[in-house]
Amino acid sequence: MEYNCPNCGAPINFQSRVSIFTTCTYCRSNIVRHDMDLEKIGESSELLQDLSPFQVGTRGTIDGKRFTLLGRIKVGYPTGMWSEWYALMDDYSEGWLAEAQGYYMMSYPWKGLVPESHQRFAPRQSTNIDGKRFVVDDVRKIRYLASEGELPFVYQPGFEATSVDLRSPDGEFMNFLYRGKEAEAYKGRYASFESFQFENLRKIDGWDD
Amino acid sequence: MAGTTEHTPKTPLGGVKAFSCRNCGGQVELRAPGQTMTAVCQHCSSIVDITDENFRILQRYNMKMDHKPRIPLGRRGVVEGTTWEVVGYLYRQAVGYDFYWEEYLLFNPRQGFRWLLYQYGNWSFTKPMVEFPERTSATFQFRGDSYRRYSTGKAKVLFVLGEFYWQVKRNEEVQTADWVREGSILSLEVDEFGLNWTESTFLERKEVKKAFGEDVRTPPPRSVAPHQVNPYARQLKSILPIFLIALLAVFGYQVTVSSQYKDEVTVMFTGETSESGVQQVTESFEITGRTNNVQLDLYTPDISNSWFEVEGYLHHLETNTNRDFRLTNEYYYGVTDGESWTEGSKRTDMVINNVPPGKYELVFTPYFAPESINDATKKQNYQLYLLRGVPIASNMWIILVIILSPVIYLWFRSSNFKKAQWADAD
Repeated sequence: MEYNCPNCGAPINFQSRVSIFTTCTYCRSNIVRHDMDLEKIGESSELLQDLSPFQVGTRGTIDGKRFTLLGRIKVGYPTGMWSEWYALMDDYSEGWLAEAQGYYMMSYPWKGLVPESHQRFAPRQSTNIDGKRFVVDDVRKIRYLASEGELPFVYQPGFEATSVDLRSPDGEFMNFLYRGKEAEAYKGRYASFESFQFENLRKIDGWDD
Repeated sequence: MAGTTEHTPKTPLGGVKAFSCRNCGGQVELRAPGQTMTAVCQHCSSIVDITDENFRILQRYNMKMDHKPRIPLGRRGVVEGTTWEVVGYLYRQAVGYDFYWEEYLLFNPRQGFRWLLYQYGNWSFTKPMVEFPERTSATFQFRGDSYRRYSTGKAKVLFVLGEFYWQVKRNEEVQTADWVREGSILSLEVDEFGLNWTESTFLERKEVKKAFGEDVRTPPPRSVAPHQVNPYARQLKSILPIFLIALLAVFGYQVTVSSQYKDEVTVMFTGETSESGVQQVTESFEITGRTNNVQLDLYTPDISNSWFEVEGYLHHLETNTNRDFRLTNEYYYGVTDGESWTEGSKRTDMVINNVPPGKYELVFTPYFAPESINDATKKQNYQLYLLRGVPIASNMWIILVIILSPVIYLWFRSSNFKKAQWADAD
């Protein structure tokens, strides 16, 4: 479906039917999709200019499934930050590719029972999830810092939550995200950069000349 | 975590490639913008939080660091097929010990971060671990290998240069523990945020020079690294099958030869003589088969407190060549301080090697002490035997020692290497 930016009129193209949020690449307006029409809800600050190897449109493979990166959220925590890339799987399901200092991890929304509060978790603690042992890596406050491209929800600048990361000895990953009484969970695994067989990667200044 | 918890980064966009140090005003360039969290001002050595829009100073210093890294910051090199840029440098100490090492933080925009470790001439390439090992009793298991505990302690940061993807601080201490197998170390660092596992593989210094330039200062190692491959153990392992085969072959040969040996006497010369120094010649005899040894035995049953000697040669009639021999029997006995004793023997033998087949005779002269002649017969009895193809055990022992010597040498070097390797362990 073709749209035009309600602010500048530039063409807006949603790659995914489930995406309801995007940023106009011309005027940087943040846009929400309501069925047939678009609404501007603010403006995105600056262009994300880190040394991320990805861009909107990068393709990859995990466990035999192909996906396309459509957008991302840059997430900050007290001593650092990382990117969560929205990956539209070729079967239209939702995946999130975390990119943090050379770690790559693909996770999917998890429908299991999420523990009620983050307060029961502390780093180095061991816990069983679905009969498997996981160790808490960290418990930290996170904040959304910026977004880029399409997202399957309306991006809220400054969104804050408490995030609990857990890891199993064989490299599986769990994340519990707590905000007030709401909790979400994601499950996935770490994988090496090569294993994704990425295509259409971003050219990086000083490295791809 | 207190104090930093409320602070979340305000300059997320990472587009900053340089900034002005708020302490000294100097310009600081970044090599991994958006990927690193802290940077050290190269002018005043202050440590700056580069995720903060105001470039907050985390630790203030006012002196240019005169520490010169072995690999300059900004240098690129290929390790394990990937190009890495040196972006950070740490000088660390094992708390309470006179033990220091250097860490070079490497960056690649796709692979993230790795380290090069330098310890007294030895280098390691270090990766963060996504999977982590499981403890099973005294060892750690990781990907099917077991690791032995090497050391535990505290590590302290003394100096820093460049930029880092965590909040680096000078004089900060973390708990560390190392587990070792040949070629690899698993290290655990525990800080307030959690556990960090890394895996270090041993890197030859010539590989470091090849990757990062010939000007990398890397003197010959002063110690054996904990995960360095023991070359002597390797060699020992590789020659062991050859050694065992050789051992079996030697034993097998000896057993075969001994079992085939029939103790056949080719010539027996029985003589009796009353005169010392009269030359004797045997009848000619045939030595058959392949070139082999012969053994000569001299038996003198009658000597008592005297000696008997035969000196002569084995004469090859066809080539007219001689092989000399001399056999001496001495036999003494008596009683001293109430204890009876004997000395010497009534029988001796000697071996002549490499005797070709052919027609031979023995030419020899018996000598003896005149006073030892048996009074009744005035004669001295003696027997001279010639035996063919005698298995000689001493040859086998010489061969065994020759085969064994490299094994003993390598075992000795290997155990010394191991001793040096574990000298710094707990």
